[in-house]
Amino acid sequence: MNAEREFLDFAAGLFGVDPSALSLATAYGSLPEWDSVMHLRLVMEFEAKYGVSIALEEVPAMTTLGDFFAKAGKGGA
Amino acid sequence: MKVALLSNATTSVLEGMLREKAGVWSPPGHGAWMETALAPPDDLVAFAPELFIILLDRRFAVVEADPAEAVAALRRRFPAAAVVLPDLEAMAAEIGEGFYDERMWKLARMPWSLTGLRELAKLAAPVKKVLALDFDGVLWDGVAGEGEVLPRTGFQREVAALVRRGVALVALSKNNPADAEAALGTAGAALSRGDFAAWRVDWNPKPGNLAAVAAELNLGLDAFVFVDDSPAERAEMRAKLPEVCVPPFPPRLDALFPQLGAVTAEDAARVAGYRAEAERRRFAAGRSLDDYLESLKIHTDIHLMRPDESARVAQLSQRANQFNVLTNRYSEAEARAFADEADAFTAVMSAGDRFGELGLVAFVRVRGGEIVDWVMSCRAMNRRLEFALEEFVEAEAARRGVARLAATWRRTARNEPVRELYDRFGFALVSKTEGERRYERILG
Repeated sequence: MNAEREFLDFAAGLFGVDPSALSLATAYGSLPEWDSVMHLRLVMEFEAKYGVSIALEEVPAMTTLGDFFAKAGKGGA
Repeated sequence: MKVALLSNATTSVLEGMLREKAGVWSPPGHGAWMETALAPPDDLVAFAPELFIILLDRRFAVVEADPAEAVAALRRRFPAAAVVLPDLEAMAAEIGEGFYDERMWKLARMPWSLTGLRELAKLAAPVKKVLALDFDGVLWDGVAGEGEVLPRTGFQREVAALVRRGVALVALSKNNPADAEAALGTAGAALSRGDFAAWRVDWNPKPGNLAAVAAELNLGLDAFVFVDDSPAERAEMRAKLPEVCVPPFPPRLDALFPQLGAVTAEDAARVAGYRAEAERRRFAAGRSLDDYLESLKIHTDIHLMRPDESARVAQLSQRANQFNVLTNRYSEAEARAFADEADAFTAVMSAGDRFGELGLVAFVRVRGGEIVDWVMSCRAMNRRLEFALEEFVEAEAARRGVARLAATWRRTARNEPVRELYDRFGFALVSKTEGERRYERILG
């Protein structure tokens, strides 16, 4: 499956929204489902799924789905 | 299942996970576990929880009151609900370092990792119906077939009580079946072969055996609790069948099967102990929230904002979601400019208790006779600190010649907890719509 599509499906499943509502440009806070609580969960679920680790200092800079997707390839998962 | 979560840490991520399967209530803000237990708010009473889970983190946070008192207060007030106080240290020891996530603590005062959260979520998972038991070291001391065994009568009795309340037992043990049956017949045993709904006593791997039993009984794996004294067996089960609840050993059966309201002898004794303790403290009728707050030795410092406090005021405006009546977000430069506004003032409050300082936790800005910001950190919620600040604001406004103080609450996704803030202050409601409430108070 297309890696980007798979990532967006993963995020959509987590947020409980339709995948068509999301793109890599979707930003934190731009839809009600992606609030501060969901942001923490996204960080953790993303790490678990893609086998990567996001440092504390990096979290504030991870503001779009594209920021996450850019890290997805770096864990070898 | 309707679950109420009380904690000294942030539980919002866990709530999100639980909401997929259960109704969840938690107090606004966080850290208000004791306050909630002593003085349950109306919406909690209306929610009528079936299960209370009290999560007290000691890794990063301080447990500032006696949990037994909270348990006793909840049991008195909600006799139909089960109250569970899981031993998080034991769970963490079982799971290892991966139970915690220090980053999450720093970001949001949430101490648990995804792994930890998933373990905690199992506590409120769908009703657990099956207890799968290892034998040697669990039901008896010694090894069946290798000399004498000594039944662990107390534990067997607890299990027998669960069976009487409808929990199915599964034998999941690596023994010679005849030796196991003989050990169950030893004097002092409270369980017998007939108590087991399924019997897998052989040398095959346990996850495979358990999965086969689940299929046989037509139950989901999340209905199973697996008890084994061997860390290796527990780790294997957790790895192969992650849906199965695998508690640390020895298990706390009352916490694992709360929906049964399982009151074991030990449980009853503990409750009696709590009651005696409470009476000794003259709190037999329920210690009041005031007494508790008094015991925290809360102190506040309320004054007009100083220039060096504008950065924190801006930060509060950015971060506070729940206790924020209008949710205006300010930059540091904007907050600094508050001092230069005509016909306006900004009051700030710092607070602390005997466990330490909370720092600057709230600010209120009044401009042109109207409260235009009322913001407080969730760390300071539920302690009635808002009343002290409001008193200061009203006095300061009156001193400046304000005769009528106006105020507005405007709905956001998160500020429901302060919808009636001004009602609590005794303001008169002037108008209201679904998303906005306007108030007025005559000063002087």
